[in-house]
Amino acid sequence: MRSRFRPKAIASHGAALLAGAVLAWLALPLWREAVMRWNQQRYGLLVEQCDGAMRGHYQAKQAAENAPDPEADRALAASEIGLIICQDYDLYQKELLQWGLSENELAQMRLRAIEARASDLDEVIETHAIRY
Amino acid sequence: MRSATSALLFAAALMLAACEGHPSDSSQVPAVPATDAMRIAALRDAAKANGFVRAESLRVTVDPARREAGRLIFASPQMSLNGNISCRDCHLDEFGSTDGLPNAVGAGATGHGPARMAKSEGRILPRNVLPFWGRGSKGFATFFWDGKVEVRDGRVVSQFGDSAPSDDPLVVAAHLPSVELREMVADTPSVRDTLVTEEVGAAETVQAELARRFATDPEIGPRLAAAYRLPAGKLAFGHVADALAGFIRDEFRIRPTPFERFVFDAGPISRQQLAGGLLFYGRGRCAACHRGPYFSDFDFHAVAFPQAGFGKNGFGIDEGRYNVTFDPADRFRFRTPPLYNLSSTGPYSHSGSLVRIEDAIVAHFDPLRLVDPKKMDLRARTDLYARLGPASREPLPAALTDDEVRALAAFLTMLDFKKP
Repeated sequence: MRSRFRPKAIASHGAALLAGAVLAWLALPLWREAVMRWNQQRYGLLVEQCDGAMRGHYQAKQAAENAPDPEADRALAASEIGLIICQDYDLYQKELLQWGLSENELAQMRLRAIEARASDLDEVIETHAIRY
Repeated sequence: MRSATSALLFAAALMLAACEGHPSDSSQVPAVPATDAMRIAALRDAAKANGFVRAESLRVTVDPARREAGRLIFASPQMSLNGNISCRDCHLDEFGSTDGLPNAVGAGATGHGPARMAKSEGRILPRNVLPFWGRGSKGFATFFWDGKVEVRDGRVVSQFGDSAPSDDPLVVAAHLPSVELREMVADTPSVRDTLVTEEVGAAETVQAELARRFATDPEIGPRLAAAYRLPAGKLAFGHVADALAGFIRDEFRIRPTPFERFVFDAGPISRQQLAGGLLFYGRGRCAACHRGPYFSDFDFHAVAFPQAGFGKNGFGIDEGRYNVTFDPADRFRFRTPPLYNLSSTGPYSHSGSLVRIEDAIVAHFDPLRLVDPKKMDLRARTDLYARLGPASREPLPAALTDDEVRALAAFLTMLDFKKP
């Protein structure tokens, strides 16, 4: 009985597998770029919101320590609930890791979010810098 | 290469769109039930910590006979000295005990809802009609937008000074509309000549006449007399106001809400409502002022709402609490409004300038989004700048996204209830 896997078929299947692997390898950066672009807005917003919540919590804690009163306590309690947005940020970040992004790429996305207004700053510097 | 890249990006986008699931995405279908145990517990704890209680614990029982007399008085135009207006004309069930209009329309008006403003001869009053929910229940003792009737240090403070007609602030509040010019008293030359004074005596003259009318009314008089166990001739306006207050206190008492069932009975909540609730007690900082069993601290705060109408102080200005205290620090401050039945009590703000509850939320942290300064005259812009000052010193929410504002609005629907 002759094998169903003839040498010619094995070669063509192997070539297809190799081509697929090469294509996947070539497409991987594009895939990551797509994931990053698709999620930049949402992830950037969460970066900003969590940062704001953390600063708000820190400042509310300071205020409650410096001048304890019921209003400061209420503000501190509200800021603690506000930190829930940071859990959203963490969960979203883990989803992005699942989708194949690396820590480096997440750091790049965070940087983009933090520097979202950098172009404005460049303009300000360009306008106001003293030129020697 | 560029087209290949675009095709790949498009394909990837399609795949990601199919897989996306944001943990706190508040634009989700409201019906999706929340299951996050940590967040559900956090919201329940926050509600209790901020004074939320069961509706039943706020109830003040009233005498049924007095309530029934009050019900008839509430709907009777005899409360208006020379007009044809009853309490019911501006506090309608179909609008959640308000009139559904930005500014109230007083004596001389006919019709209800938009027709009342469009077609009638009534005088426009400068403020939005307040709903009655919770008025006079336990702990609810500050009345009107500017708190002109309130309890301070255990005694009722009002324009009656030391001669307050009752130690019950709701009864005192019930004395006022019947002697408010243009509200229930039509502004005529004869009224101006005889009754428009700063003396309490003028109000007593009007109210003595109103008491006489109710005492001699064939339907109301006998019920009122029986309720107070007095002969009709001994009935005074205090009895009329007391019966009216009894009706308002009971008819508009707070009933159990979906939020009560969520907090105390493990009732359901949608993901969007849960997100909104956590914003309410968290980054939104709403509970800094909207706290306690009525979602009001009964204090006075400034929010730079757009101003509609000519305003209590004229020229489109309403200086709010300042009109009561004459303390410059109180300019543009208004009593924190309770938040029950918001879905049916719009439009919102002291001048009813906002139709959507989402816009009323936005006014707290981004008021400039709601106005177009180029379309305002200098006076209106100057007034806006003046309001922005005190508003910016209030506990400000984080910059909320539109999705988050919608989540907050969805949460607030949990405070809706219907009368049986």
